[in-house]
Amino acid sequence: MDPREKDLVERVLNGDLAAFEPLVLPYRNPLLGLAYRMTRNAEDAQEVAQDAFLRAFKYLRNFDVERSFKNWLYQILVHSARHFRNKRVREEQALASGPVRETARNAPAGPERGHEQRVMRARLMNCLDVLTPREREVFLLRDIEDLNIQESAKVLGCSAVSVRVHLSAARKKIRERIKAQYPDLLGATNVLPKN
Amino acid sequence: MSCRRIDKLLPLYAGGDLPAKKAEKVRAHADACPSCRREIDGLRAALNATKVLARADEPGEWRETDWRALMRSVASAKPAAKRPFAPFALRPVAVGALALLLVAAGALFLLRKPAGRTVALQAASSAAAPRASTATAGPEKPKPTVLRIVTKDGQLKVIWPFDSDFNLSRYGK
Repeated sequence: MDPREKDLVERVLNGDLAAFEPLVLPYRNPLLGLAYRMTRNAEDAQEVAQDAFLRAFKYLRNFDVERSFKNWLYQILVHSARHFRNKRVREEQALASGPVRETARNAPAGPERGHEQRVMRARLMNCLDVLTPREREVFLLRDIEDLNIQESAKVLGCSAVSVRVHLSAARKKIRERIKAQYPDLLGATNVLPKN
Repeated sequence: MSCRRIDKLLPLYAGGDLPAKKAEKVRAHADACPSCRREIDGLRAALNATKVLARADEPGEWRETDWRALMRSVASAKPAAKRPFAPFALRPVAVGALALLLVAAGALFLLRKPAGRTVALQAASSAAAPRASTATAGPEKPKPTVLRIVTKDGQLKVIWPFDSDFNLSRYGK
């Protein structure tokens, strides 16, 4: 763990609440982004990210300083997002005849950032839509957030084998979706490392 | 390796997530198999495309008012006491303990003597006991204990005479 983070964690645990903000500040936007890609809705993402930061503060005493703080935050966020999704499903079942919620595809997602970015976001969300919730979690952590298999497994609270199985299925589905709907993207500039 | 077996490994290979030994096998196969090589290229291109999309769509930013409100909530929140056992650390232990308990229960169930049979044998044995005790009263010629097992319909009878050493050979001699 980063010595600066370790120091900040100790300060918070010793009662210096002001040290919490500099501790989490570098992760606030990445966490919001991951929350958005998990929930597919800007408002829900904000709620999930807020919940994750509050939980992080509440349970900071349980944080193992030998671990990566970022991965610990991701782990909390994933649990918050699952909790939120289950709550949302229950609410929607209870209000089955109510109005349909806006999703990322028809809602104004976050601040206005120009047409091109909105198109990119819609495409990415459309690709992610083909995945199951677990495949989406695995794919986002491994392929978008660049965690390795072991780290993803730890964040998700499952085995590395389970991550591999879901990752494999997710990549195949994404490939099929892109091939069918966005063949123009297949020639994008390469960012992948070679084997 | 056949294409069918390789096919399962391709998504992981394309993202660099296979162990070195397996990756080497896939590479060797792909060098000789244009179809699998195309599949790998397709997967890599798709992965690359999603990364490009994700980078172009940088995560949204917090509105400063929301962030300040969150920090105020944090300041007024109460940290939870340290849990004596973290659930994630406990999970393997709990699963192990449960498995051990199930195995022990299973073993106990399998090794247990069938109760009905034991009772029946004991009943028959105890029924024969008084006679045995009177028979062994005579010091010159000890009479054996006789165990009789009779089926309910009376068609099968097992009569087992034995002495105090469970020895059949001495009976009748």
